[in-house]
Amino acid sequence: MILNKVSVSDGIDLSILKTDKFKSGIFTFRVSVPYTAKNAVLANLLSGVLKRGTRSYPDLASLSRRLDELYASSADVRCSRLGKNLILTVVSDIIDPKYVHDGTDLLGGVLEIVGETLSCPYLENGYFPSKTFEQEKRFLRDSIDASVNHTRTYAGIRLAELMFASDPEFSTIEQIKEILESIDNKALTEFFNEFVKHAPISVFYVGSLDKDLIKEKLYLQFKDRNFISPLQIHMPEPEPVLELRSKSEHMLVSQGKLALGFKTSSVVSNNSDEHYSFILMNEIFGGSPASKLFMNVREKMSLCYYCSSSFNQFSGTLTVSSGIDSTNRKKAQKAILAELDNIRKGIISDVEINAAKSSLENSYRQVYDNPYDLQASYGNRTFFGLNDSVEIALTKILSVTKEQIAEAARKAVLDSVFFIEGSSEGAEEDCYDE
Amino acid sequence: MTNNLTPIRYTNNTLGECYSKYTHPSGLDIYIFKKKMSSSYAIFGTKYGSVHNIFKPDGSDEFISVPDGIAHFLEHKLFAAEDGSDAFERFSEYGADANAYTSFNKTCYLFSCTKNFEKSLRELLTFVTHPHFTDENVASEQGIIGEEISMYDDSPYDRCFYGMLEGLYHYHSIRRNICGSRESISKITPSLLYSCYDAFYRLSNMVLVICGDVDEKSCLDIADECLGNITDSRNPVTAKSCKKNEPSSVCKSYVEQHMQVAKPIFKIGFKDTDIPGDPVARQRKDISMAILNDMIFSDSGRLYNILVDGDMISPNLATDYTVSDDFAFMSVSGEADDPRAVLTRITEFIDTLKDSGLCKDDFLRCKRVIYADAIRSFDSTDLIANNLFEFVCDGNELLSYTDIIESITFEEICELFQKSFDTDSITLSVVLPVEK
Repeated sequence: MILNKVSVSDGIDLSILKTDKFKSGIFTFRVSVPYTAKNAVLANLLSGVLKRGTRSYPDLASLSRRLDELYASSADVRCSRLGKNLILTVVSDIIDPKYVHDGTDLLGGVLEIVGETLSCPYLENGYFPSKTFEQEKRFLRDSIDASVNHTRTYAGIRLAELMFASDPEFSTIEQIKEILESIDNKALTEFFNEFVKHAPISVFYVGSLDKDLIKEKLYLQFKDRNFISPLQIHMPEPEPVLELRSKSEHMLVSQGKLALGFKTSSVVSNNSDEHYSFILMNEIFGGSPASKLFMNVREKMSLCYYCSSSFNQFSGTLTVSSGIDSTNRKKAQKAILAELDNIRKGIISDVEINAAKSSLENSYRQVYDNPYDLQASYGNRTFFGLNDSVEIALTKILSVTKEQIAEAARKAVLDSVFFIEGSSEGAEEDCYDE
Repeated sequence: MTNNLTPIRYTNNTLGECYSKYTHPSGLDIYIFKKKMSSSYAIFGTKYGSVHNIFKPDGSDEFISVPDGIAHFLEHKLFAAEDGSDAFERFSEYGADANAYTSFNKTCYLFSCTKNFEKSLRELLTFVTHPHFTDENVASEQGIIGEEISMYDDSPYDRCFYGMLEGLYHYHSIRRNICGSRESISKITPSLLYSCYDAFYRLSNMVLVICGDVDEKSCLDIADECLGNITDSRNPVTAKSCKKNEPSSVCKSYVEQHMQVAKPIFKIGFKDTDIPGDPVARQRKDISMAILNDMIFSDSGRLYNILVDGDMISPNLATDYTVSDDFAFMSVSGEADDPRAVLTRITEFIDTLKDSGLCKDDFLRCKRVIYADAIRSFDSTDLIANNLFEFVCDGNELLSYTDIIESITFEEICELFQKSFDTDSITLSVVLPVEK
């Protein structure tokens, strides 16, 4: 598959991975929004409101019916954080027209909806309908509150709050709720008008449709849009290491959740390959069922059902997540840190290194089998202007040496610990020192 | 040995897909679905799950009952080899991503890989056919599965699901947790595991499905090599999923639990006892229920918009229909301040709709949705292999699926609607926030 870049107009860039491999094609439309605490909440709220209606399909029912008629095509609006960037994305999944025998124009139909979503959503007297605004505000508030329903995810959120404490634009759950309450319909509509309505759009497509056809239809759909100049993209930067902080919360659950956060000095970049060592180190540490955490903390010590690690190459953070019996908290933390220490000392067998390399090779190659993974992988690279293709990245990972793995582990500094203590008592919060 | 085997080939020209079925001399049915993808996928499983906990071992006239959660426990322990190693280690060495799962009526072992497919297939067929259970390895697994049980116990969504099943069913084993409980798994012994293995892991009760850019002959050669010595002509054992006949009424119409949740979550279950005995008819009903559910509950329909506009539910309202040869139920799940009011609104809506009738435009639109979802399901080797596995275990064929969707009529859906959603068949399961 070859990535083809096309300029549709001054404000629209199109990247295409043309392939006949899939029976459906995926479009992603990305708009970048300035990274601030308030914008993060606004963009989240906006992603809900934009799904509720466009100029031609003014309410949820008519919009959903239209998408159903287009053979269950989607126009899903999402908001995500990539390093210190906020991105509003519309994802459309369209089945290949060759499986449609009644002449329905899938591409035209979907582009109409996406175009209206990003340029002319349904407004009443210049504002989003107040009922829709209030409902989506409630939905967002409910979904923030519902984070306690998923204790593993909740522990991850609380850990991130500790790890990103020095970033003034990173909000806690409580701060997000406070910002949300302060937002009114006028502020949301103005946010849309200022940062989305005229923003440049980066389009990515994986599928079988012809490049010129897509280019032409995109041009026609967005020809009346007034684009403003492109926004600054914040290249990934490592998070500063802070003094070690630990926090715990009692919750009415039977299983404790222990989450550890480490900072590294390495993020994805065109100037250095160091992050590849971290990707491999993470795989050996807790990235697969052959990892040290799985084989030792779970299998040998029977301390948990899951104990895994992940490395975020956009922030250079390494996190460990595990579900344990609360009485085993100290034992589990010690065992997890001991495994990292082993890597630091170079106590890594060839079997472990080869298994980790094979596992990553498998994951990287499987990207080619999934249009969503392809658009995420290539889309993120394109966004940051990164040079390495999936294949080159893999080659570099496979050439990482044992000493580089140990060096990476030595550069991972424990920064934060968050623990949910399962108990039959009510919820309360503790702060304590290690 | 398998060079002489003649496959049955299944083709769908519209989809441009085909697969072959081989019946191996060992008694195992092998399905090979060729697909040009980077990854290949194999799934080897048995038609044995958590509900099959009462059975008659060979040579015995008596039914024996085994502890809840034993099928799942067996799945975990089958990875252990006699030399103390673990199959995961070898899959990792080959770069394959291996996994396993146990459902109500199936246990599956699987891997996906982008290289070393043949070595991985050999490992899959070998470890599943070589059980090794000891007092020590059973005891160590009790700790791990104990934590797995705790993890699911802490999930309000899981608890709400089982609350619904406990409400819907009086006796059927489906009301018990697939993993069992800490107490039930403490009774599991190597000898019980061997009894279950012997009863349900005979190759005539199992299926192997392979999907990917693979060579059929090599796959069959590996089957010969790994299974060549096994000739198992025994019939499947007789298994039951409950001691008494399960009535059509529900056991409890309301089940309430309290947990750490932000606001109440609910599952409304509709017990379905009108289960077609013929697999093809069952599959047709499954598809028809998917269309019907989409017509009634999706966000393009009136009911969803009434519930959202009335501020009665959070936006995620999900439906699911499950049907097998001895249980079937439909569920509607979501989050609401007042789940009882949601149930009342839903039943009122359905009653009114039964009088006024369904709308044909809705039918045509929802049929398109189900058709498009089916088309998309042929885009990955794991989805294809898992779907094919489910279909063949249930006595069905995968590539006629889109044709069946096309053949379903509006009249058929209307008739199904009139017979479904009986008010006596409903259980409301809720998880409420703990009172502070």
